[in-house]
Amino acid sequence: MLKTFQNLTQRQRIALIVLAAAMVGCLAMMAVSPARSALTYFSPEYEAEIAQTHIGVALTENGEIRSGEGNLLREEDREYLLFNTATEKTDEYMQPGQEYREALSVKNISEDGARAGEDVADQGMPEYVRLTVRKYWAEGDDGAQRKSTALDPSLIELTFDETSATCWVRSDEECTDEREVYYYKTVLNPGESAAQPAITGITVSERIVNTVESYENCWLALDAQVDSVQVNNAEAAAMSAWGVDVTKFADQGLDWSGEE
Amino acid sequence: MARTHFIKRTAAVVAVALVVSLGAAAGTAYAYYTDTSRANGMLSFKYDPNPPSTEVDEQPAGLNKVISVRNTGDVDAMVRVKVFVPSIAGVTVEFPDAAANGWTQQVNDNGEGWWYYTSPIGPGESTPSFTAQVTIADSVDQPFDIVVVQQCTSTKGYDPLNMTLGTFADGAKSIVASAFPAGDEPSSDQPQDGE
Repeated sequence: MLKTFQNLTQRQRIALIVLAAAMVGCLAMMAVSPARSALTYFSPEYEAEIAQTHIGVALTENGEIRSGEGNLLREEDREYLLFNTATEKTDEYMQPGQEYREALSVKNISEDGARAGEDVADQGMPEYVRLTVRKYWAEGDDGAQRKSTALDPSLIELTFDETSATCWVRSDEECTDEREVYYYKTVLNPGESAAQPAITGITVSERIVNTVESYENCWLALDAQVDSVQVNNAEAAAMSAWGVDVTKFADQGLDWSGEE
Repeated sequence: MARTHFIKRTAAVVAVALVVSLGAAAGTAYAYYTDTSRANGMLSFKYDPNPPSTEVDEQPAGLNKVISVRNTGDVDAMVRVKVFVPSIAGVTVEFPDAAANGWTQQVNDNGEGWWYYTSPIGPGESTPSFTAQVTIADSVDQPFDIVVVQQCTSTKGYDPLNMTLGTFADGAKSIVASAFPAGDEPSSDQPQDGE
């Protein structure tokens, strides 16, 4: 290293020394900083609360709010669910071709977040909603059921009649043998339920008679989900949150364009 | 060489500037109020396209009844019979020839006293009959009925090797091992599964 240093010209050596000195100076300044005191003043603390409105939606089955696993088609509701309106008796199991009562709808529960004593009208948000119902067969023992990929979900028929069609739009593009998707045509205000349920009945198709698979011991499963978006810029919100362009349903009466 | 170096450096600076300007043009993200709620559940379902069908045949023989069961359906069936004995003092009903004709009460969870026929019966066939022998004491002075009911189920659960008879309305039924002396187990020659 000394040999290299000796090979440098006078100018280069000076430059190198100046740079080294500058670096040492910088290091010294970083390491050692003088202590200072300053006059300061703090104002008293002030707190401010910002209240947000709440958006909330709930699924209802036969008029009752349902949420969570195992809370649709409950065993304790079996007598109601399997009531055969034709024979006026409760069937032990669903009979093919017979429609049973199963009403799926939505309710705007956003006013439930309201604070007591305040004007309820200021709380909660109106919203636009959609309902997605997935239907499938499962097999296995009680408590250990598993979805069956062999049994045909199209044999489970959900009734969407003309009365429901006055309030709901069925999205044919998104519907499959296993899934039904419905959009509520108008705004749902806080505390309101949909004017008509989207699904009014459930039937096991008579085509089950001609199937090769065995339906001797299985489970009919439903999985329902409700989604809601704010009213402002609802079309953009639906596109952002769900990836769905709801303007394509305009010709079926769906209007998500404005305030309530 | 300096000129090439200048061109390369310029190209690098222009490239970086382009990348930065495109990133700045990416646009703003928005957030919306949304909510969701979900529920699921399932209901047990059973569909048997060809359920078995049987009828009981009761023939009076004096005070006694001779009981057998006939398969009126298209598939094999496992059957059981229950005789309702009136609880009147002095009236007794016995079944002296049931066991000899292939009927047994030695089945699990048989608190109700069903008589099970231990083999499947084919379409159009009847079980061997057994007699409900009624004995009436002189003290009995009122009329009564001996009611016979029968039930059937498919042979899908029948397994003679494991002595299971099938699944009836109150669950799976199997013969308790002590029901039969050695070598006298139910026949396994009967056709199964509707064949």
